[in-house]
Amino acid sequence: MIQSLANWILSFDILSGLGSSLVWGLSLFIVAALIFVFVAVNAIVLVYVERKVSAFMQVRLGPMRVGKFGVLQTVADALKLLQKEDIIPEKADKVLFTIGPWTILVASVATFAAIPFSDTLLAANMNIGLFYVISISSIVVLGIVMAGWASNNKWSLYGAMRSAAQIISYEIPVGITLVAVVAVVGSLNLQTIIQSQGGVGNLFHWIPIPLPNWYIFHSPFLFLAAFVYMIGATAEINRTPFDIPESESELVAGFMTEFSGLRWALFFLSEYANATLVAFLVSIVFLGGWQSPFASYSGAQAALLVISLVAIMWTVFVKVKIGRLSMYPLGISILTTMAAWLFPGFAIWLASPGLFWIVLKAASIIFLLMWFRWTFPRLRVDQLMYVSWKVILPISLINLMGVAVWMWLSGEIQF
Amino acid sequence: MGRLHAEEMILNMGPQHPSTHGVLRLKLTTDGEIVSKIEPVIGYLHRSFEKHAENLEYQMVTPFTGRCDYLAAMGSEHGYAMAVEKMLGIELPERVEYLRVIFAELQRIASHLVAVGTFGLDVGAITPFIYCFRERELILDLFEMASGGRLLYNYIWIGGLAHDIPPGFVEKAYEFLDAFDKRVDEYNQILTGNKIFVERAADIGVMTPEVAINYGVTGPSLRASGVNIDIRRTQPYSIYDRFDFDVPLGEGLQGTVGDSWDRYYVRVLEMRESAKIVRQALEQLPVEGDVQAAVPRRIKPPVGEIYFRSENPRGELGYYIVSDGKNIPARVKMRSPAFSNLSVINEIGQGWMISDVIAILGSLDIVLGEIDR
Amino acid sequence: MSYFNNISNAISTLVDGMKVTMGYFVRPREHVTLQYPDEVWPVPSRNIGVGELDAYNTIRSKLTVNINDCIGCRACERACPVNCITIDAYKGGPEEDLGTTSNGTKIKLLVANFTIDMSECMYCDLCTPPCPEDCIVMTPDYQFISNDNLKTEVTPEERWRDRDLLIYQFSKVPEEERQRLKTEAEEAAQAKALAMAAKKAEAEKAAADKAAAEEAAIAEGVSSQTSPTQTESSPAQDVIITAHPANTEASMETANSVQDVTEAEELTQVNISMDTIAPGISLEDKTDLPESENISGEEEITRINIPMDTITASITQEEKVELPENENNSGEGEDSEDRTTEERENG
Repeated sequence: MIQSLANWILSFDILSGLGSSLVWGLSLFIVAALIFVFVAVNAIVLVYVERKVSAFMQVRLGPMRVGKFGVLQTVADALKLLQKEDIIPEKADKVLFTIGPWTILVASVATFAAIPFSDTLLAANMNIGLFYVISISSIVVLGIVMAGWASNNKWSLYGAMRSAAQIISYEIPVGITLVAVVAVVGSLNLQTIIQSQGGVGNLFHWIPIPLPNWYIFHSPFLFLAAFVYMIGATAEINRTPFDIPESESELVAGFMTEFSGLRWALFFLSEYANATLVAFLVSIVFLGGWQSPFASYSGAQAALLVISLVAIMWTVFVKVKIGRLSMYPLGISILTTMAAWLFPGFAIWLASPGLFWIVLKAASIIFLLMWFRWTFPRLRVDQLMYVSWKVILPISLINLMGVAVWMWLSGEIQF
Repeated sequence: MGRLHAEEMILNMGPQHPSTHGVLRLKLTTDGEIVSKIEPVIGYLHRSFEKHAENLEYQMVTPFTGRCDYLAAMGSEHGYAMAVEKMLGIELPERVEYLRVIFAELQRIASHLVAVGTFGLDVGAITPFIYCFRERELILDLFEMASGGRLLYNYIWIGGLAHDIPPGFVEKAYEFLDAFDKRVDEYNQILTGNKIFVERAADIGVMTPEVAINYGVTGPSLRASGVNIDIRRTQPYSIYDRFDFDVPLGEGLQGTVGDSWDRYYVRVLEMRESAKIVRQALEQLPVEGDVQAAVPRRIKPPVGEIYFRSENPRGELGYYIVSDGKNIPARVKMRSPAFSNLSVINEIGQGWMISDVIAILGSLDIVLGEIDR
Repeated sequence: MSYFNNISNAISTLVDGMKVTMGYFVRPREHVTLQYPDEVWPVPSRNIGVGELDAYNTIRSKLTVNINDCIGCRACERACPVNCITIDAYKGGPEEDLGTTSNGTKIKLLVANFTIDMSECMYCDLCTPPCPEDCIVMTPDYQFISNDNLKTEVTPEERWRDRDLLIYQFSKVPEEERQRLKTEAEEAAQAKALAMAAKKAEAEKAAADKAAAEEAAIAEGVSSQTSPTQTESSPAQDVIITAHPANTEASMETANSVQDVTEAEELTQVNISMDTIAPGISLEDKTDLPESENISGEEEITRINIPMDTITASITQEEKVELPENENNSGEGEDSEDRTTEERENG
């Protein structure tokens, strides 16, 4: 993308006098700025959506005052946060206190450099894309420990320590789960991972329901792996039920206790950036990224899909069927929640269908994360570790082996 | 090889802390996450109720009793009114007794809803809290209809009630009771059975019956330990002997008897029992009748003293009143249940993690207004 | 095996919970939010038909008085546990017709000022039942905030203004008239007190003469039963009190406890009560604090404020006696002394 932007700039006669390296640097800067703007706007939108989702789940209305249905509420909040007094506690370590939030922000924004938003919309097409994303997102823990330690507050310290223990523990199952996918693809390049999920195939190779060739439908092991990854990722981004580093009923606000104003806003920004990153990763690795789910169906396959979907919906979700609504709630709810995405999304779809699909998939995942958050209680530290080391890690290891066996059985690989 | 020695750290939880249910301060001695000693520091909400009562006429004390246990103001008023009435030897009209029981039991449901909801909040579940408060609002609507207040009522006066209930109250109360049962099922679905919640509450902070009795723990927290003491049943006051209700006891369904989960679940069950009592009382309620017994305008109980106890949502609420024959009490002492219940926290909270201490504190259901008075 | 049971149990219970939240999510019509300024809380209305204020119901909100019906009996003032009601009522002239209330009761006192401090009110509703004319009521008006407050800038020094907005004054007479009544009452009180002091001094002189005569009569040194401090302190104290406007007000408050009293009676009672109680208290205080009479005087008054029963009892008795003499009211003096010492212990 950077190179194409540079070429585009150079294609103007007036600008062609600029040196190619200067133009390249300029386009680099523009792309970085675009990513940052995406992260910031994304956070503003997501905070609004989260507030609305939580409100509807809690029989409330959520923000209603600023703008129609409160759509400008988070904009107002962001402006307020920017205006707030910059407070550094007297006993705090000023250097670490200042750079802590920025470290987290940089780490979470930098990961987006490797995320392919469509077949062309990609800042850096790295051959180690997945590896880059996992390793850069781990830097977040450094920032959290910095912030917690520098605050010179016992609650912050507890939060930072918990966070460090938690994120490091969950890196392992998450990494192994992703390795299972990498084993199938044979590449760490995120574009390659997406491209290999094109086309339509049977569910779990043999069951005759025509579904896109997404890895979540590749085998029961990868199906499980998707959920294991979701759980692990929820823990990595510190969201309920794994939000112990900032558990507000225990540690006040964890590592964020002493922060206010802009720095606090940075934490918030990176929290939502991380959530988005995880959602994008799930959609890239398991849900076919920017591939349209419908593009490659033949007429017969589509009909078969509709019939089987209706049958599944009927059997699985009939219990949840509610009141006068005769439609199936899961589908409706995902669509309604993502209204905030859909309206601009339609325009995006016209311009770039790939972006639309990946955003829609990511939005569904984010909704799932919100759904978790507003339903579950919080685990305790040792229970969190139990879940990580004794439940998720064994499952992900079994998955890894199972995927290999499955591929041998289905004939994808031969010895 | 000795054990790794870590320095202990004193952690001040509160008075500004989201989970101390008010302005309680807990001095925690912690070794890492493990809490080795808990020292409650109270008095931040002291308003000298007892001293104040010595300067007020008997009927003027009533609004202040509600301000002690502000989550169960009707219960506090009920206890105080009954104590003074016993001193005066007043016979109450039937209708008053029934209405008082209705309000006291509705108040118990409202108070337990807060207890259940905030316990969920303490372990991180935010949504059940909102659901509980939604139902509590319906009860407060009923209270507002009758008394005009939503939190502090001053409705149960010495010798009767402030006003009669308005028309439509009984129907609205039935409406609430009908809807309420399903709501409790909903709490069970979202919270009670939830595996994470069970992990957080079951087997945590086990209070054996001996410990509970030694520390003077009363109310649902005591019954969760399997001790069958409910003053409504053991020493029926007012007209509680006329109703058919169960006293739920902790059975250790998810862990040991007397753990935090039991304390939570006993409250859930008690809500259903209270709803049963309210339903019976509404059915038996005399349609017509006075709501105020003949009380002298200036209340001067004969010289003497009285200790009267009643079952408040948090436990045994006792009033010790000394009269010197004047219209101002010589001494009013309030035996507040939450005060004794809080005292047990060091015993049952030692050796657990910080998160568990919060869960245990939440399961004890304290109200600081009543502890500090 | 329990390991797998645990996992499956966890998944099923968690999904159970998620069903509940999703159920509410797809039914946004069940929300319970009330968007306050646009929608207001439905106040449960119940007309129990009191006076002209038909809208009166059981809600505990702004306390209002229908001043045209107030007879100045102070029943509400006494019933209030937090003293948020203050009433200034004066006796009208003998030929003056103050009208009747809507209940037909003849108004005997001119209510110059009826003040309700809503910042102190605790909405207990204890003041409304004692009112014989049903003129003090709680209205459903619970929105005390107004846009005017927002417009006026309030500096930190002016915080008092916020509270002043919550003090509601009701009066039947214009401001100048009210001032006149107040000053008149004060003057009358002063004059009365001075007269009383003079009378008292005379009486004491007579008593002293009598004592001297007795002393002379009894040749040997048998000490008199009357305490010298007692007799000395009482007149001095009276003078100080009347000189102090604050004291006059405080003593008026004391007298407020008496039911159905007229202004003039009140004032005389004040002085008398000071006299009657002084012996009991001054025994200790005067000897301890000979210099700070002002302070001790005020202290006494505040302390006297509380045991109203005994004071009023003593007052009504003393009124009939008219000439307070120490020997006569010794019993009463002891009583009040008991109460005051008790009060001192208590607080």
